[in-house]
Amino acid sequence: MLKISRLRRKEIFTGYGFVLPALILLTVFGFIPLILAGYTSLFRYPLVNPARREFLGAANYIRAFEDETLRLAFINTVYYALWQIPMQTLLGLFLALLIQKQIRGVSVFRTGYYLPVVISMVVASVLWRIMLDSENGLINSVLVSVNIPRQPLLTSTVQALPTLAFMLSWKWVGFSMLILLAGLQSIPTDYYEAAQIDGASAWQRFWYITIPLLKRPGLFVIVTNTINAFKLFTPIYVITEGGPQNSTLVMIYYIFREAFRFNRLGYASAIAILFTVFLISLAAAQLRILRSEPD
Amino acid sequence: MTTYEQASATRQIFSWQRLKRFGLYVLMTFLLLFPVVPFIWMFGSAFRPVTEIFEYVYPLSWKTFIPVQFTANNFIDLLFSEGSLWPRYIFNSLFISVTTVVAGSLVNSLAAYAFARLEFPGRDLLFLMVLLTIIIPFEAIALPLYQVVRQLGWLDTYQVMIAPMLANAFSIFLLRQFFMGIPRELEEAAIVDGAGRLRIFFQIIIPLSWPAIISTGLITFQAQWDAFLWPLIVTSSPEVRVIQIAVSNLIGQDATYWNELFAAVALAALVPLILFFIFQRYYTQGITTSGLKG
Repeated sequence: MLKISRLRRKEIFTGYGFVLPALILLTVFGFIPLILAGYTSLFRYPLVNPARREFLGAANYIRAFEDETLRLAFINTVYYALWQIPMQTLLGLFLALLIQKQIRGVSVFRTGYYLPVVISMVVASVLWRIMLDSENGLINSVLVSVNIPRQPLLTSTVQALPTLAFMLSWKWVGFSMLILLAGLQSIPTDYYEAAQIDGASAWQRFWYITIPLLKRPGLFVIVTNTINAFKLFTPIYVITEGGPQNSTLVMIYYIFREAFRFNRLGYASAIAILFTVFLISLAAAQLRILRSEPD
Repeated sequence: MTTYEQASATRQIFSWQRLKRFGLYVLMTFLLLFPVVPFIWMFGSAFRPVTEIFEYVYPLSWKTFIPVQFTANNFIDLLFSEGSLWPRYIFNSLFISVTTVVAGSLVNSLAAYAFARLEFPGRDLLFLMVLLTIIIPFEAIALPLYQVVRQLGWLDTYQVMIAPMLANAFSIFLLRQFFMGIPRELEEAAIVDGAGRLRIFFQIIIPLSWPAIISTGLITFQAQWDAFLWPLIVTSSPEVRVIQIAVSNLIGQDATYWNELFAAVALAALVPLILFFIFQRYYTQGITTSGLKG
């Protein structure tokens, strides 16, 4: 008896020992910063001179709701997301449907469509910044060669965000494709065969078998794409810096600029907290709405 | 219907299917141009002399994509000119990525093993806590994390880019799933023989789990190789600068050396591309498991 309890005690001890390094790291670099963000957001907190901080209470939060530029950044972010999420998700679904059959050479196409996901965001941003140049860019050259007049693209306040949405769909569509492809391949072929025998058309098979059974991976893709769209930062930093005329000023870039250019860490933290709460509720709402849909 | 008519009907169906298959290939090939052409253009431009970089962009022809005067000088100048820091940037990125993968795999798989197999009070609660960190976007804690590492005196060091990225809830989750699929009998024999858990972990579990460890390791490597926002915030000196920051600095300059920029971009793209082609199977496995189970 004594021996068993000693073994048991040893296992408990080992268990804590094994999870301890991960837990310490997650606490120091995850939970503590999260709490610290709440604390900092209550202060006027100069980044370069923290000793001169000053307690403000909820003033930073009140200010956030009155900040016109912040409102613009938020609207821009939502507008961008409304372009990018459907584009990337639907294109991903289309590509997944194209390459789902195991026909000869299909792996070349699967790999090819996935390539942009593999390179870094900075590389993609630099590459597209050069290609999208309105004077010397490859994109305008291609447009002219198919008889479309040159476009201002990133230099236009109207076209800049949709252009970025297109660029980031190019970058991430392979991710949506891959997840949805795995979903498509997990649907048993008997379902389609049975439906075909019953006389269901290709469209009916797609609508009543494929779409309902793609719900789980589809949900994952939509939620992931949404969160990523709202976290847009690197292309803004590398390509547009928020311009022209604040037309590509988005939330994370705004937070970054407040903290590191304008030295306002407290205010930036308040915005970061509000935006995180918004993002988490958005993801939760999506999960709820899409899950509760009748089958 | 005569035999002749039947035969011609089947032939028609046959050729109709062939036509559809052909159309599918045409469509797939056309769509392949979108991801592949920018890559060809990028690698092509990296091998052009500086005078030629934008010369053939318009009008569109084969010269737009294939260098007319092929040269490797851009790479040689970038990497080997006197005082060039590019070898250093590449080393920094590789060092940070590899260290994070090795140390992170150890930390995460140990935790994942405990969560999968060992029984201790509070286990499920702790696992839930770990999972909670998946929801927190890194961008949300980047600012306070900056305060933490500044307090530790870690600005402009390697560890500032490694330590916060070691423990990863997502890797722990995936590895735990994998460990739970390993039959318990394999361990029980070793326990009867008196082997400790640490020995079981290293001698039985790890050798069986390479696919899962490689999958999570690749995801970690790519995340670290691509990291931009965090290194941008916490480093400024060239000694610890990573390649992504160096590339983005190049384009910010007033007089951009376009040929060197293309060479730098090509190098930064090459490392993950090579890894992707070597480990493609593990790579897609990791991504799709996350989608189907997450």
